[in-house]
Parts: sequence; structure tokens; C-alpha cells
Amino acid sequence: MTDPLLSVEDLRTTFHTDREVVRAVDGASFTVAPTETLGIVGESGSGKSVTARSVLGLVEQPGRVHPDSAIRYHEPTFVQRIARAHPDATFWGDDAGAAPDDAFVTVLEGEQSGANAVVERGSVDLVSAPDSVVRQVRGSEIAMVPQDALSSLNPLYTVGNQLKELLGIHRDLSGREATREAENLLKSVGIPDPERRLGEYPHQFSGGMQQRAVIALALACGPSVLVCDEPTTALDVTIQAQILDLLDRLQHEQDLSIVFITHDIGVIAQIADSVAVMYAGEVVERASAGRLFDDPKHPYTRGLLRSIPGLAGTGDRLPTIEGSVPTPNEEASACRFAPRCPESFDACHEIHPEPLAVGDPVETHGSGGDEIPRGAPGGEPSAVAADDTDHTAACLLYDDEYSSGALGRGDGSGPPDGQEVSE
Amino acid sequence: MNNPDVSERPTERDRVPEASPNDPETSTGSANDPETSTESASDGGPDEDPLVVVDGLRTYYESEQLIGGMPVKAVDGVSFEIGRGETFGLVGESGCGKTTLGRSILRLEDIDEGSVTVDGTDVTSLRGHELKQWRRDAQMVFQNPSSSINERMTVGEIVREPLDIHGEGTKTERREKVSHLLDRVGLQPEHYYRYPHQFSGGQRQRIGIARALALEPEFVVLDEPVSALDVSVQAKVLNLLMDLQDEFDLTYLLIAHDLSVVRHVSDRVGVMYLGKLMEVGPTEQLFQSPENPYTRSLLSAIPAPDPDTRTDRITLHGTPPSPRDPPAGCAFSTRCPFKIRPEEFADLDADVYERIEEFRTVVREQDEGTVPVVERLKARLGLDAGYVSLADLKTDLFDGVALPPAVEEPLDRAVASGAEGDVAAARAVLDEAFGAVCEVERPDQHSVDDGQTSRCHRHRDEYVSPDAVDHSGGDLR
Repeated sequence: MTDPLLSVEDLRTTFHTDREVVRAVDGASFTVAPTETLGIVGESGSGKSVTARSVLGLVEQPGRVHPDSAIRYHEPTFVQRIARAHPDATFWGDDAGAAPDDAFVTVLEGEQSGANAVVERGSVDLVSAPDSVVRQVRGSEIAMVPQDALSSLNPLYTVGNQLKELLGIHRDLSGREATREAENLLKSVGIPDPERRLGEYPHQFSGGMQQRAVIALALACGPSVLVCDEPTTALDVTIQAQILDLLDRLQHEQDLSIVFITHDIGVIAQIADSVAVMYAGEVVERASAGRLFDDPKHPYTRGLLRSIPGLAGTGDRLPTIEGSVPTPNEEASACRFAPRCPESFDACHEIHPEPLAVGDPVETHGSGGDEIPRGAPGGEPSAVAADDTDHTAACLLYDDEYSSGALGRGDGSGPPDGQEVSE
Repeated sequence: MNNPDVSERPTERDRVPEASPNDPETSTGSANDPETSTESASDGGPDEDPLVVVDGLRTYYESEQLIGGMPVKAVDGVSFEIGRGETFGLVGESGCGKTTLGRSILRLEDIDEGSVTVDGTDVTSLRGHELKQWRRDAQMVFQNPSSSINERMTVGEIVREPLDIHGEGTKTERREKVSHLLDRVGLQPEHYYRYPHQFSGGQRQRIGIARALALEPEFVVLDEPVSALDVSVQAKVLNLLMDLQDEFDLTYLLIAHDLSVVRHVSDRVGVMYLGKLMEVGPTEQLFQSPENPYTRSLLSAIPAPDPDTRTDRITLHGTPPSPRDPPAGCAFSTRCPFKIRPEEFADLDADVYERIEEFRTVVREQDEGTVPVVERLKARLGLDAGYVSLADLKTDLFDGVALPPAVEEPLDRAVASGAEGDVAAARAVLDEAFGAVCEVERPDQHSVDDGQTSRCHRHRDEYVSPDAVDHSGGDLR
């Protein structure tokens, strides 16, 4: 197993308003391996986009990423650079508990020699790192493709202008050099006649072309991780197919890891290697794409998969999930899906389920029993990577302590469709 | 239908173009237009007595420019029928004219040509009181549930408004009716006094549905009713629509870009592209064995919610052309992977042919006026222009590729015209040399299977039919 490139552990992002504290992301954990595509799927309000923004350090007031969360970036060259620049904030060793509070770089393997430190394995925690470090990550190491291409481009500047501005800031290119590079970028994302296109304004581009331009902007600084937040949602299927093909090609050409956020389960099935299903701020199920679609474990995932038209027979009623996604505004004391869950039992309303390994037959009940394999430091150093044994679900059905007799009960048909709970 | 052998195709295609004008009362508006009458064809719907007959419908939006502007041909000669109690699904990419078609049928847009007959009445000629009466029977559910209902009215007022306008019953009766409707669409009686902002997207769409049903219409146009909703909510609204259809004997025209929704709900489906109906057929038949190249491309682009079936996706190049200036021939000819090649290039290497097409695309885009005059002047004066010169483009695309003279010669002529700053001439040269039947002639509507019609030159006897063509290249005769 290899180290992940990016690992997110117990991410909590809250928004503080006068009335309440919205826990938009409430304890989400996942990892992304090099060149892997992780799909994050969920309905609106499940916290997918806030997760993406948290990873990039783009959460704005009144939002806050909880200081105990960890977003670790593991690219060795980058970690080495930061370790050399911040020797005081670098912790050498794999005992996470012993790390001082102000250390944001952890080195697991390497040579400790001040400004000439060599890092082979380690990570930078973007939650505790200072802004100056986060800025070096954003764009250059982890870049984002936002959902609405047109609104993320400046309507008053030509596309060429915006690309060249970026190249000037991040890569110190200017003049003809920058123009040439901008042309190459547009060409690499499949925009024909880039010379002409550079001189055009965003509104002169079609929707698909705008999305390509935004991808070109994201790739301008050669990132290793691309976070795509619903990049094809606003597009037609034929254009969506073009963009998916493009991302696939770019991933191979540039060895990218992709975090792909979408509500479209079809898109997830086509592009993701592994999938995290989010519900009300939590990751309720994680598995490789194949496992998730063949054998979904969490009742929410099952309901979600069943409600897609096309899988059910034509003209039949579609199975639905009762109710709607709640806004997580207090600490979870029970399963957040329990009120809508056709398979819930008493304990579901009292105990908050932790992610459990549900992978078939190779179940490695390790030290903690049912703990989710957590990222790098602490415990087993490399207990990550998306593999079929890594199938986890946060559901008491799979917890022997509570589920005796409950398993297999209810086939998910649930009560008849009708009422949604208002307010 | 399971892909019959190629040799059997002609017999099946013999029952071809139905140029017969429809029954006299429907074809009146268009009898003197030869093009319309060839395009109008009964598509063999399952119903002998259809509720809605659309014949040669054209809706153009006039240009805002004072002179020389071209109208947007949003709906450009569409004919089809909707049977009683049927759900007719209309799919297509954004900008293909499907919403305009729906609105035109309801007389919400001014029609330029053609007719819409509902239950034997030509509604295009209705005026005043008659029109108002007819509108009771035909209603619409709009796409965006937050902008299509008035935020300042209570739910009760919104649903009651059509009843008030048409003076239905007494005030008490109207209120009772509204309560009944709210109940039918899955809302609570106490919701009567609430405002729309207190509701979720799915619930707002239910309000819109209740309003559409208030006057007990026969025919409802559903314009993207679920596209703004999450899948789990979408499923509930679709179930509701199907239940209501059974209960009130409704006929639906369902407009959607989500093909899985259309497949789930519709009895028959029409596929639109650039204002034209490319293919019509019974839902399952059309999804199982699409005949039209556009339908095939569109269906192959839907991501299947199953990682094991990574389909053989046909990825189309480019975007649909502008409906102001649609291609002279087949609407899909600029992107079609099944395009018929001119005879002399039939054996040309697929890769070379694709490069020629790319060269033509760039020339066409430059010609379509996106290149400002200043840049053209610069190019003419040999200055560094803001767009690629055709000579550079040719080097880019064909460097090191051996070209037969029949290809090289027109390319060079186009480059020469381009160097003079005359991109239009370059485009003409290329069109003449490489243009095929698809780019010049409008395809007829061919009957390809039981109740399934498709608009493509490949259904003609002299060409290989689309399903026998390897779209990745090969034999494109």
C-alpha cells in the first residue's frame, strides 16, 4: 500500500450565525491516493462543496475549520520544501501524540538536517499551517475547478488576460512567454484556435468551452490534486462527456489525483476509483466504486441508488427516501439518517454510529476493533489506500453490539410516499 | 429490435418517406410551402385519434439588429402527435428549442408557421374569448420552482388564482377545491396560509403542479419539472406526476434534458437538435435501438450509474451551431460522427479526414464573425494577428502527413484565400471540395421501424445505414 497524496481526518467545518451553529461538515474522513479519482457524492446540503472549500482553505467568515481537524498533504518534494523552511514547526517521528501543538509538518522518514533536510515520507497539515504555507499549496499543489465556470471567470478581462495574470503571479512568466504558455494551456484542454480564443471574453465562450478555460486556469501551475466541484452539472450530456474525457486524459498525462464532487451518481460510476457518500455533513459510506455500486451497505446509499430513474423499470413508481436532508446544527447524538431510514431500530435514535469496516470476507479486526483506518501518523503508518477491504459504513446495522436481530429486517420499501416535513 | 443484418436494411427502409400531407384541416397553413409539406409526416403514434397534432411548426425570434440580422430559428419545422393519456418526452441539449416548442404549443410564443391542433381545434387561430377558454384545458408546469411562483402570495392564493381568473364556482367552493388540490399533491391543509419561501424546492414544485391542475386541464406541458431537484426529491415528484396522470387522465408533454427521467416516464420520445425533431419513437424502442446518429451520440453520452458498464461513448466534437445560422443541410452535420463522406474521399485515412474536419471547423468559426475586423486587417497586412493564420493551421494539423493531391489542392487554395484575409472564400473552397450530401441537403424524415422515424440521409438506400457504420472511422461512404 502506498501513502495517500491527500488525507482528510475528522474534518469539521462550522458556520457560526446569530441563530445557530451549522455543522456543514461534521467529522468527514477520506484519503486520495496518487493518480486516484475519489468521487464525493451527496444531495444538496450534504456538505460536499464545503468539504472542497475546506481542503483549499477557502472557507470564509462566518465559517471555521475546527482546529482538531486535519487535512494532510503528503507530496514528499513539497513537504521537504516546507520542512526546510519551517524547521521549528517540523515534527520528526511517527508518534502523533508527542507532536508539539504548533508543529504542522510531520516527517515519518527522512534525514533531519535543518536547511538540508531530506523528506521521503511525511505530510503538511493545512489546517494548522499558517496562511503563507496554505497559499503555496493552493493553486500550485491543490487546485480547484469550481461549479459555475462563467461566474468564476472575470467578465471584464479576456480569457488570455486571466491566464497570463495567473502565470505572472505563480510562475513569474510575462510577455510573449506568458502568451505562449497560455496558448499551450488552452490547447491542452482542447480549445481549437487558442490564439484567437485568448483575445476573447468569457461570454464569447460556450458553456463547455468556459469550463475548459477554467480547467486550464486550474492546471496553470501544475498541481498534483485537482478538486472538481460539480464541474459538469451545468452542462449538457454531450458536453459533459467531452469534459469527462478531457479530465481523464489530463489525469493520465499529468498524473493528477482528482477529487470529484457531484450529485450525479452516473458520473461517479463512470469516473471514480473510490467513492465517499456524504449525508448531513458526514461521510456515511466509503468504498471502491465497484463495491459501492455492487453492494451498497448504508441504507442511505441504497436509497440513493434506487431512486435513480432508469435503474427501476420504466413506468414503475420510483422508490423514494422519506423526508429531506436535515441541517446539521447540533452535535450528532444519534444517526442523522435514522428519522428517514427504513431500516432504523431503537438504538439508531440514541447512538451516533461510527464508520465500521463492512468489507466482505477479509475483515481485519485490528487493535481498535471497528475503528476506521486513519491516515498516516499514529497507529499503523500506512493503513490507507482504496482497496476493497476499505469498505466502511457508518451504520449500527453493522455493529454487532446493537444490531442483533435488526439485520435483514426491512427491505427498504418503507412507508408510502407523500409528506415532506416542512421547516 | 436487435440490430438486423445490414443486407436486410433496405427492405425495412422501403416504407420510407411519408410525404403525404396530413388530413386537410391540419395542413392548411402550410400547404403552399413545399418544404413543410415534405417534412410533415405522421409518425405512426400508437393513437389513431391523437389529442395534439403539431404540424410543420416554426417559431423564430426576430433579430434585434435593425438590418442584416438573422432570426433565431428556435423551432424550425417540427411535426409530431401526442396521443390521449400519453406522455410524450422531448429531449435535447440546451438551446435546441424544446422549451420554445412547448411554449409555442400553448400559444405562449408567437408562431411563425405551421399549426397545432388540439382535440380537432386548430389552436393557432384562436383569439380572445376562445383562446382564454382553451387555455383552461392546457396548462404548464415550469422549470424553476422558485421563480415561477409569486413569493408574495400565499400558497392558497397561488393555487386559487387560476380559479379566480376563470370565475370558477363560489368563493367557498374555490377554497375547498384548493384544499383538495393541496392534499392531492402531497401538501398539508395548513400550508394554505404559508408563503413559498417556507417550502423546499420539491414542495414548491408541488405548488406549481397544484396550480397547473386547478382548472382540470387535459393537457399539461411539463418543462423540466424535476431538473432543479435532488434525485431523492426528483423521484417523489415524478411519482406524483405519474399518479396524477392516472387519476385525472392527463396527457403530458414532458420536456427534459435528463434522459433517464424521460425514459422512465414517457411513452414516446422525440429528440430535438437545433430546432428540428431528429428522431421520434416509442420510448424503449428508441432507447434500445436509436437510429439517428444524434440520438445515438446523445444516448451514449449518458453516464450509466454502474461502474462496470463504461460504455463506448461517442464523444461529439464542438458545440451545436448557432440557431441564427443553422447549417444548410442536416442540422447535425457539423458534429456528426457518421457524416457521409464525398465519394472521392471514401477511402481516405480516418485520421486525415478528421484533421480536414478540424481545419474546416476553425475556418468556419473564423468566418462566423468572431474575428474582429481589426484582426483581419492585421492579418492582411502580415502583422501578428490575434488568431491563427490558415497557413500555420495547416502546418499544425498536417505537418508530416502525406496528403493526396485531391486533398492538398483545395487546402492550399483555402490557405491562399485566408492569406488575403478572405476567410469566407476559404470556407467556400473547403465546402465545395469536402462538402457532402449531409451539408447541402436537408434530410427527410424516414420511417425506420414501427412508429419510429428518423431524419438522416443515411436511411436512404444508396448509403450505409448509421448502425452499420463504425463511427470511429472506417467505411463512411
